[in-house]
Amino acid sequence: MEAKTKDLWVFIETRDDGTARNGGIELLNPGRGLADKQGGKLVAVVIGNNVEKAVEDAAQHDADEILVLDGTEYSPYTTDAYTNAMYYLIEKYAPTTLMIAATSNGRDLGPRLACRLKTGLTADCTSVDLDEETGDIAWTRPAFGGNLMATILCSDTRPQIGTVRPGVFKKTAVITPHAEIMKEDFHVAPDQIRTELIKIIKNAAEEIVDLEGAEIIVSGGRGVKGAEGFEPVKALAEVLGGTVGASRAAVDSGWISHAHQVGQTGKTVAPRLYIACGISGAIQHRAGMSGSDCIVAINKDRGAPIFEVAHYGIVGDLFDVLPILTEEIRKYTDRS
Amino acid sequence: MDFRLNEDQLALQQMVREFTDKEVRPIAAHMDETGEFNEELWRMMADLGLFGILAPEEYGGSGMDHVAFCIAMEEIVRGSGNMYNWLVTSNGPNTGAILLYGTEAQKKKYIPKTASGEFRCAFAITEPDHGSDISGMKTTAVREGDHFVINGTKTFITMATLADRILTTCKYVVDGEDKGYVTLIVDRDCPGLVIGKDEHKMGLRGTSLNTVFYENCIVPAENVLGEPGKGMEPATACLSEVRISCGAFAVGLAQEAIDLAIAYSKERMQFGKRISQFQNTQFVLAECQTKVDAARLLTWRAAAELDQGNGDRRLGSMAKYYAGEVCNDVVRKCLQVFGGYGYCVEYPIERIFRDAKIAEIFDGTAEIHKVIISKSMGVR
Amino acid sequence: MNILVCIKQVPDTTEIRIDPETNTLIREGVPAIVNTFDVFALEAAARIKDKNPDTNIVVVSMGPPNAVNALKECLAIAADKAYLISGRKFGGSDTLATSYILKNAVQKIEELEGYKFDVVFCGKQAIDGDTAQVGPELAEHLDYPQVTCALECEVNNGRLEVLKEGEDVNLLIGIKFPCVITFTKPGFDPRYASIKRKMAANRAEIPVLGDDAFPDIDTAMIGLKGSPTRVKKTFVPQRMKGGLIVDGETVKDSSLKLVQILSDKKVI
Repeated sequence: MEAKTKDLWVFIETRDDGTARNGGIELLNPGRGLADKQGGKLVAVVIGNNVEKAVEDAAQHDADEILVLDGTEYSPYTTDAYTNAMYYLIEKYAPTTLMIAATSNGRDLGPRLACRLKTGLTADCTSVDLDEETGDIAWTRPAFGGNLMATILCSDTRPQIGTVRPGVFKKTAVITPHAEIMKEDFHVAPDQIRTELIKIIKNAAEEIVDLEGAEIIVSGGRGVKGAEGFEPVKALAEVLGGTVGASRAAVDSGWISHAHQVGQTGKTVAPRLYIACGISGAIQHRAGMSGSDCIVAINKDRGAPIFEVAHYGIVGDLFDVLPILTEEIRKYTDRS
Repeated sequence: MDFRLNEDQLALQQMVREFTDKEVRPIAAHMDETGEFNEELWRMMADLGLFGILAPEEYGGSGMDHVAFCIAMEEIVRGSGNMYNWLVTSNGPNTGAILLYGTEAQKKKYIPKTASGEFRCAFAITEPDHGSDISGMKTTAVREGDHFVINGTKTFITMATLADRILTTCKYVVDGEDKGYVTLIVDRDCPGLVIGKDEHKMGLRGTSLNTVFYENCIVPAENVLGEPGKGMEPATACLSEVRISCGAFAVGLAQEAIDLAIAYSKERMQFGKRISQFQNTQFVLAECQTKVDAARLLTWRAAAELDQGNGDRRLGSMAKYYAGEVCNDVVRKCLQVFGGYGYCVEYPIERIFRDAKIAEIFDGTAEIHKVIISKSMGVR
Repeated sequence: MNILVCIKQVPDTTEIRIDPETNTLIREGVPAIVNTFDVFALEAAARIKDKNPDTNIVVVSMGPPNAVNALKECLAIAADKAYLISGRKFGGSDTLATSYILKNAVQKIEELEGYKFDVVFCGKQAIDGDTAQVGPELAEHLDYPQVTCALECEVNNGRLEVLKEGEDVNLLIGIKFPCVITFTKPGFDPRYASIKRKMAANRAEIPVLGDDAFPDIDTAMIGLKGSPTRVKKTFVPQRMKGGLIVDGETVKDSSLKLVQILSDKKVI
């Protein structure tokens, strides 16, 4: 399809309670700059059930226009309902660009929608810019397990679509809303939704560990040498108010559950502070945490690859360093 | 004469190597320390087909030859020497002897479930007073109607505690008269079969070694393997195969020891240099590797001869005794490369050293094999 | 039941090194493997077959001629049959074009085999491309419903019940046949190939479907022509040539220094 406007759309994913997931709101940040450069509006697309809070959130983060689709068929998320709905909206308005947060649902929806629109999608981007030469969006993303970065353009089809890693962009400051809110009317009939949610499993056996939302993560690797070895890691996480993470080596050895795993076959995280203890820093782990703002490595092997990505490091035995570091941080937080 | 491994052999080597690295190595120390039987590992190895390498395809095995078996054996013992016991009790006499001497009914009953790992097996020939001098064994089997009654004691029986059946060779007694030997398949639930305690051993601590008591042990007559009176035949048929496995076991341990020593020598610094830079280290390891390669080739040659139908007893004996001797020599020298650390349990070379000794003893001592070799050379 | 598993042969990206001088990837000597996530998909198919021995598992891969190695590995693990999709005209395809070719492949294989697939299983993403797009795009081309990020699944009540790894909880989802499921890492390890299967797989003849196997394919939708996305450039991410190693006389000193740095930077 041809674009009818120069607008940049940001898909705002909502939760079952009608609030917005952070990923989409974060994208209004780069969305602002890109929409301005493209010469169009910044449009937030909010789909869900009873989404007033999400709409307000989008408005407070600088959306010029908000398209709203509110209905019971949009909660919980289903591929069919959302693909049909987004397809309808995009056919109707034909924006030039669409950004979706690369959450679990975002990465489910993005490709399906891109295929239906016969357009290009670039997934899991870590940076987004305007390509000066072509005026297209330049989507930059990791490949080869994070060993290589690729910049992709979608020049001949519209909209150009990208899913962007949550946490890469930070939310902008809250502003007084100025968005025009447009309530759309599109419904998906029950027989058009071809999957059925049978039940939600809050995983009794494995705890739910929110690594992706964590601001501070302290991770243990092969160097902790056993399940008990995670005690100092946990203690440090606790004093920092952080979450415990783990490398694949530690999980595979059975010292901690897979819910804590950070890395290519675990979770991808981007906290403010990531402390890697006894982790060598193999590529597949780095792929999962290299987006962290500040990386600290503690390892007794000076040659460990983790020191290449770490901003700060201490060469030493984690069993010596962690208790003392924990103590010093406790003293520091007690003082302030 | 092509000494290269063919495609199938290479694929097998690669498969077992990868499996060993991922699944066997990590648990080897624990197995040695606790002697615990790792049910999950057994199951994985069974699924891989490691207990049915030699069994023909029609009985559920992979139908591969003895060279292939040696290749698989060498790779897996590099992870843990105990795997020798697991592989040989299933692939060895409990498959081979039954194939050669068993009735069709026996083959169908025993081989598929051995190959699939469902049955665990042992074989009992040695006695407390009769080791090398096995022909003097005292355990008797007396025919009484539709069953046999076995009385006696067998010792040094590997994995008897876990075995679902124990292939047992006894003296065959009819009406009080000595009529030769008989080999019987003794199922675990035969009355009168008592498994004695597990020996505390120097090495191969992950598998049990037991004394087995036969106290009026009743075995159905249909469990005779081969002809009563000629029971030594299945027993010795087993031994040719086992011999070659021993060779592969010894080669595998020795190769692992060398590779560990090389890696260590490249890290360890003394006198401002890596010890791999000292000529002594280089020469010692070069000699070790040469000997191991020679032992490996001799083992493969003996295996190939067996495959071609010429179970030259001399070759098997040569392979077994030579590989055992080389193994112990090499492992000792490689441990020396580690210095004091080689004496510590934390380093696998310590366990390999303890495991290696048995290579010169079990399944025919080096001395007995030299008797066999010299006899076949006509030196009397 | 007939299951099609889509697989890709990829370089083992955990083994990839960067040449420090040219700052490019060293691809030589990196072993080619079956994409990790595709192995999970194959395992899921094998588990269905464990319960229902009548199940037929076919693997298909779009790739260069040497991708037969990955297909053979899948035969050795659990697949009953394999097809390779390989043709010059397919080269240069992005995910949209690739999924279109695969859709044609699915239908071609169904034609050749004389049955339809009840399910198509894929790995969630390839560890080289990392896009996670081909599965859902294939589903859209086929117009089949999908579930992505599946951990495990079971045939129940005439449909597939799929345990999906959600954002913070797991979801049990019912989906009718035919459907497309993409798999992520489950809580169990995938099975090894067995020796017997490996030897048989090595001997297997794998049919290759090339350009001429698809006379009716829309050439505007394959290869570079059919690829709306284009790579403008690639680069190796900036490796920090080491950050600051916090040194001190004692562990206490280093710890104190680190705490100071982190508090100055307002990290803690």
